[in-house]
Amino acid sequence: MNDLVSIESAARGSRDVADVPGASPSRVPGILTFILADVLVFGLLFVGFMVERLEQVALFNRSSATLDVRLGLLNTLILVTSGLFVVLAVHAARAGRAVATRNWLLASFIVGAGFGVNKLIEYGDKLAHGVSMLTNDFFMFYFVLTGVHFLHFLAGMVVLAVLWFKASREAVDGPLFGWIESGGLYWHMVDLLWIVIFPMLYLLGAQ
Amino acid sequence: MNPAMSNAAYFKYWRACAATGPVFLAAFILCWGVLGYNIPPIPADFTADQLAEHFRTHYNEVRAGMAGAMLFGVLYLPWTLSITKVMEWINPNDNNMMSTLQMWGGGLTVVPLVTSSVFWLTAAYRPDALSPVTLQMLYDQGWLLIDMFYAITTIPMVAIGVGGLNDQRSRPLFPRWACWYSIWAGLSFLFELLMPFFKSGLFARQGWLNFWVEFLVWFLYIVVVTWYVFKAIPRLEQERAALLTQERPARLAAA
Amino acid sequence: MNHVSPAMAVRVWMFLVAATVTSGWLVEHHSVAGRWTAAAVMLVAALKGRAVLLYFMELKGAPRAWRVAFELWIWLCAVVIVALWAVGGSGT
Repeated sequence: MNDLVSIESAARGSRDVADVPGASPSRVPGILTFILADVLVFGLLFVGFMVERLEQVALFNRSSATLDVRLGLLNTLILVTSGLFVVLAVHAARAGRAVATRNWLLASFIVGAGFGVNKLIEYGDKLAHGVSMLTNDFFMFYFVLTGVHFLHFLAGMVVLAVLWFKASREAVDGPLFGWIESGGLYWHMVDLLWIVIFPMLYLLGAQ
Repeated sequence: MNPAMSNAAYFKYWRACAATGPVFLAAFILCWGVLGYNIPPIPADFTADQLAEHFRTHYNEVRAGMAGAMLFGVLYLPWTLSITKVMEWINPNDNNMMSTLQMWGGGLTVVPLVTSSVFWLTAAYRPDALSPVTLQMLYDQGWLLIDMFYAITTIPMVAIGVGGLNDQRSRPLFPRWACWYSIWAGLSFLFELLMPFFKSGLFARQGWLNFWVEFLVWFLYIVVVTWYVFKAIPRLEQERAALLTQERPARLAAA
Repeated sequence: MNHVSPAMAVRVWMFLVAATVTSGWLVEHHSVAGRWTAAAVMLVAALKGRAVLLYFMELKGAPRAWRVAFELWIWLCAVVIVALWAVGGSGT
């Protein structure tokens, strides 16, 4: 116990020594490392998909043609709109406007939920027609890419909900702001990935 | 803090334990990977006869490799402890959940490393007496264990990241990017969930994603964390030394 | 660091919506871009991704290295996808 108290003063002491005001004018959220590593692996998956496609172009195009382009387009519109609301939430949080922050986060969550509903309809339809990850190489990539993306989406929805909840009990421009900003960046990554995944899976085979 | 304990006594063994990380990494790559023929893995779409041929030719290297892997694999434990000690100093206002999770998860990571080696060692022990399908099963089982028990390693990786992000120092002991890398790397192992469904392609045990990317991500994590543990120890020595000089006069005055 | 204003964010969103609708339209009326439809669609996707990176993620004001890394990523994705698509031909 004694230990903890001492460590506390130690941490405070070191902070006083190390704190140089304005030392880092362009502080970059560390979550960008997470995002970059993540999109790099997705990039590798995109290359993997395209290389696999080279050997079975006709099959890939035929399989791609069975996907519902309109659902995919709708999902893109949903994610970019939800992304806009997150930008507005971060903007409100920076200004310390808690109510506006929470409302934009909620709006982002509600619009974003549409993506999940759409995707479940799509998966349900595919599985009902007996199409799964093991049907062929196209659908292996289809389920893996959209499935991994869907997990990212679900995590993002949880983050939005947690931020909405926490914004009611903490100052939005205090320590919570870093988390709102990071959560926002993460949500944009979900958007960004879909912007590439959608045309690659749904539209490349357009004849 | 026990002011009777000098800094030299307090930080004794920290560096030695941290150094076991790189030793583990080098030895594991050599024994498990090179001698044991696991870098790259024997493809999952090989026939049982091809696999039997491999074990019946290379049994001696595999025996030596696996004996080494089981010896050096346990070094993951002292390395883990050195991280725990640094983590305990990250944020005095935080409880010790993250550092404890890190310690348990990192320590238990030894289990899949060592037990999976036993399966490969068993295959190399009597390769002529065992049937090809048995050899295949043992080789598969080793890989299924080491790959599918990834979650025990995800726990310490996420714990280091979460704990590290709570650092209030203006220059954190573990930089923000390293924390986020650690979290990401731990979560990226989720791709292994797909490994049992494939015998070829990117998700198979020899696939570019589930082998080359995931193992490199893990190796890089070990290097990055070791680097910042070594950078943190002298800083903590200074912080504690400052505390000792602050506290001694206070105690004398009280007495 | 200059932050993106709400008005600017709305303009970027309008661009993203227009670009998305345009991609959909191009695919349904593929006679417009003909066999280049897929390349056109990927180019639009890269521009959309870049808009999200620079304005929604505010990389426009971030240190150069971060901006370069992410811009490189989106353009590399688009170029590699289009190149491998072109190599693959129509598959018929």
